[in-house]
Amino acid sequence: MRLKRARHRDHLHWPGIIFVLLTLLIGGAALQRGESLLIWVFASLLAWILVSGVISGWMMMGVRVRRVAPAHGEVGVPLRLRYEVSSCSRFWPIFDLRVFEPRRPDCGAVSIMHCGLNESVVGESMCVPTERGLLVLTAVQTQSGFPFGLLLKSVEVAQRTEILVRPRCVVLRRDALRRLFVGRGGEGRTSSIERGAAEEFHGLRDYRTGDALRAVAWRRSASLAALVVIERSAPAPRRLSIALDLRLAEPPHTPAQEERAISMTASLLRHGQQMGWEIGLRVLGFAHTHTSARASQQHLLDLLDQLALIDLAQPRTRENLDASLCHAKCVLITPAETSARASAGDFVALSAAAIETLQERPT
Amino acid sequence: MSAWLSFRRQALCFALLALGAFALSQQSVVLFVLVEVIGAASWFVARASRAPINSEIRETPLRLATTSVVGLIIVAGVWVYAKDDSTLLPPAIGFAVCLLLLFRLFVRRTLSGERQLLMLSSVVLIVAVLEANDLLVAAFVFVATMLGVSCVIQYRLAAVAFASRTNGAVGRGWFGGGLSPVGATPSADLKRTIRVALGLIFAITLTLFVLFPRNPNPTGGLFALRSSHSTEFPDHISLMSPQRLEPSQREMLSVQWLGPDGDPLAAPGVLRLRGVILELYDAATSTWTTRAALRQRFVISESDDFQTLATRPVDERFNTFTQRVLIRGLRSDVILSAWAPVTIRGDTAQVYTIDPRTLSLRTMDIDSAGPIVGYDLRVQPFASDSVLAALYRGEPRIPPHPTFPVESIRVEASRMLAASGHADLTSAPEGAGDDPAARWARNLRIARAFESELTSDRFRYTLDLRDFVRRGERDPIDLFLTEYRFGHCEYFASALCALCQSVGVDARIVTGFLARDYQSAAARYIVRESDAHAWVEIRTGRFQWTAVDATPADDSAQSSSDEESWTSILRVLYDPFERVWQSQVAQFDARAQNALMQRSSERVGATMREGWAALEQIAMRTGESARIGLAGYIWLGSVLVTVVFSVAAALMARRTRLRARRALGVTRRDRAAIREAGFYVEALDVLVSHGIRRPSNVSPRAFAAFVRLTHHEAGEVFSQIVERFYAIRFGAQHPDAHTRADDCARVAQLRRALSKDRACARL
Repeated sequence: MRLKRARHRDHLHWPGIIFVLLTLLIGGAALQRGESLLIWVFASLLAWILVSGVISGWMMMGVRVRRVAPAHGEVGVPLRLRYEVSSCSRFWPIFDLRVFEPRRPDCGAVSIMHCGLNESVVGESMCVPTERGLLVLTAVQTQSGFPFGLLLKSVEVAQRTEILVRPRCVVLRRDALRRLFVGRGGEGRTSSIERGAAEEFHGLRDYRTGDALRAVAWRRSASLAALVVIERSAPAPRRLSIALDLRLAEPPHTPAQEERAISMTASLLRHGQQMGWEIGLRVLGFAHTHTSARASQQHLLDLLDQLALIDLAQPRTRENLDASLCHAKCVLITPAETSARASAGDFVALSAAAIETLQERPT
Repeated sequence: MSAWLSFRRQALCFALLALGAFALSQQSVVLFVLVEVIGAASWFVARASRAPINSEIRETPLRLATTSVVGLIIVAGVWVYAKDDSTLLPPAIGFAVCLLLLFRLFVRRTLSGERQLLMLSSVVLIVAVLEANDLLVAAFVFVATMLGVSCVIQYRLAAVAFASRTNGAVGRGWFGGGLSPVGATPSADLKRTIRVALGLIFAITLTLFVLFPRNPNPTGGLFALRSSHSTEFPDHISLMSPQRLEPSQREMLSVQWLGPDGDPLAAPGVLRLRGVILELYDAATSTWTTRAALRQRFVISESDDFQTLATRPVDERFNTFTQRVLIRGLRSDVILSAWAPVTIRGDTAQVYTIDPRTLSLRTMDIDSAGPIVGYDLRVQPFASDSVLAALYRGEPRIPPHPTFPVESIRVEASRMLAASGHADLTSAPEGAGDDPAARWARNLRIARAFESELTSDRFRYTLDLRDFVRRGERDPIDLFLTEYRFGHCEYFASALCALCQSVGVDARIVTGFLARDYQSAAARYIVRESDAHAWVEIRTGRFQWTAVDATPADDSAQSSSDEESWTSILRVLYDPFERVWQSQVAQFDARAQNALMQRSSERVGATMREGWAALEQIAMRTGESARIGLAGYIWLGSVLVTVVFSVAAALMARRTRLRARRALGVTRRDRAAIREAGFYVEALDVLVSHGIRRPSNVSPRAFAAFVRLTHHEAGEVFSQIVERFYAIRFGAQHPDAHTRADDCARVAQLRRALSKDRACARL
């Protein structure tokens, strides 16, 4: 990958400054005393400085770097950033190269010891995201002091990469959901004409276009002179609807509380999906964040992405609790303890602080 | 680990070179052997070949040692301050850092230890450079500087490897760096880089060395350090402050004595090298000085031929010896010569002055650290009067009888003459100028009488004059003759000269060197600082002066010409290098720099002028002879364009061949493989132009599979190309013209497929 908008910089650092001062001292002595050996040493020290700049400059001109980053991450989980470094120079291999993100001190640096002519090597660094949302990496910087470490030369190139950092998911206790819904049912049955999917006879109904011929109750149809099909009942998977209450409140919630509520929501969603429940999400206070319940892994990831993209700085709505939410399989998660909300319906109301009680503790 | 081991070895060598340079700068063989042996032993004692560790262990002994050495440095600093001699500072620092370095050599298991080792070695090197300017020191410094390049580069890489270590990766990988990515051939690339860096540094250093602005008048040392390790030749003798002299064995110069046939030989007896002639005594300052030369002459040497010092040609066929002098540690404008110099030739073009009255020589170039490197003199020890007359520039005027300004000396001279039975010679005869022969005979008799008196047991030779205390206004010569009766050669020569002059004898003091240490292996005399001497010349003829030495024989001053050692054999090898070093490098001063610049500019200018003139001539001849007209010029232009394009095409083809060779991994001789499998290289180029580069560690087939995954159609085509490449490269297939055309067609197909993919991606 050809680097574009590269910015070359030279940096002086303490070893270089000390070396230059020493060189000036020797130069003064050489000028004063006029001895050939002293002049030779002074010229040699100057040559070291010049060659240091020349070699590192030529070397950096041939450096090509490409960041390979994952699309998603999670708060608190190390993120692997890979850098593919290649040398396009015909004469100078790369030695002692440091690759890092210039404006992201939380991202580690990669040290490349060597990369030969027309070769590519891959280095890996870790980055631990601390915030939910879009992690934007705008540039990659390469730096080298090779060969003598007197001058540091760096090249910064613009390379934009966006990583969606999902909220932190803590591991909940295995019986967390059972504790939440103890005495509230939560499991139901549904009817289906799918043969094999259902277990028990549920009833008959008129044939509708598209019904399978296998479902037709032929004897009953003969007696009724109209096609009827058999409906069978099957146990429906448990369904978990989570309502994250981020509406404006008095007093307003702190961002930390809200972030903890989001993390609680993500943890519950993941736990529900792992337990085989269908999971749905609604974020109160933000429009267009209502997702019906499903049970797939991709659905979980979509929900986590939705949580990741919540921008707490955006204006919020003051919508009321929907009646449809007030059923026994709904969990309302609020940033702070609010008894009034908890008593609003037949749902489980949890504050974000409850994550402490539901969290799996290491034994 | 081999890279790490190599680095440690080189670091040790760097330190040993630094220690050796410092020891040589102190001119101490014992110190040299000591530090080198101790330093080399550290490799085995400290088991330096082990892998480095991450944490400092067993640092207590080192810290104790370091504290001790720092304490020593402080004590040395206080001592230097108390001595009030700033020239002692560099050696004191050097010794202290040497101690630290030796300690560090024995405790070097961490990267930090290696860094300190390199830094301490650098400091020792700099101190050595400040202390000496000799060839051996320069050789050590040069090699150490070049080795330092390699050491520092490898240290940088070791630091990277060290930083990237984890517990499971210690000791693995290049330089022991477990996790740092490394390419395919790091060691070969590193060696090449080091070689290139060395070449660049050497070229830049040489350029800067030549262009560095030299100070025509060096002011001496920086921060009152010692300005030079060379010794100046004094042009006076002062008896004001007697002190203890330390005999030094440092070499001042070497002299080769060639016989009339040009063969080197040992001179009969001691070779007296005359330097400065001192005739006048100032009683107020107790100093012997030289008389201002009224008739100086200038001799310009062209550095190739001998230039005569006489006013007319001298017959050099008989009894003429050649004295070849190589200056080593002497810094002076005085030309040392045996009696009597006839012709001279310098290493470089020089201007010499000769005082016809004393036949003493000097050079005009006194602005640099050493005026001259060496010179050849042809001398006639038994010069005839005609030769001397030519040197004297005619008949010398016979001066009246000299006198001496201290009256008490005359009294003592009279007493001595009376005691030796020469009372009749006490007063100078009136009208002695009428009978010069009698005067010359009297001169010699009196001088011999005084000589026998001074060399008797009543006088003692010593270099320690701390007991020679001046009392009141008494002249030191008077004190020497009448009271103390001990001293060194300057006192004996002063006494003899004073005694002679006080009784009207023509006498003068000569300072110079006695060449006594003849090295038969090298066939030359080695003249040391301890060979500096003063004696007296007595006029024994119109042109003749006879050397009379009143200094008693000293045990330590005996000739050591009989002692042969292995060092003399080394000297034979060493001398040519020393001569080149002194002439080409050490003496490269402002004057030499100007001369070089002038010569270079003249040469470049002349070359450019000649080239331009030649071009003009060619153009004129072509214009005159050809007369080709417009069509002809167009034809010539087209030929020129064709040639240019042909050269460009040839260069491009060569570049393609080189790239193909590199990609196919074949040698230059496998031209068939390059030609037949060239389509594969072309296909790789096509892929690179579309942003798909094959990593060097991926096989062609694996790469084709990767291309198939990302670009299906192009990947299929490329797979066919790779299979064809395998068949040719490893299956010994030789495609015919049709097959070759098919291969080229596949490359074109690949290009089209990739272009189509790109167009689809844009849509």
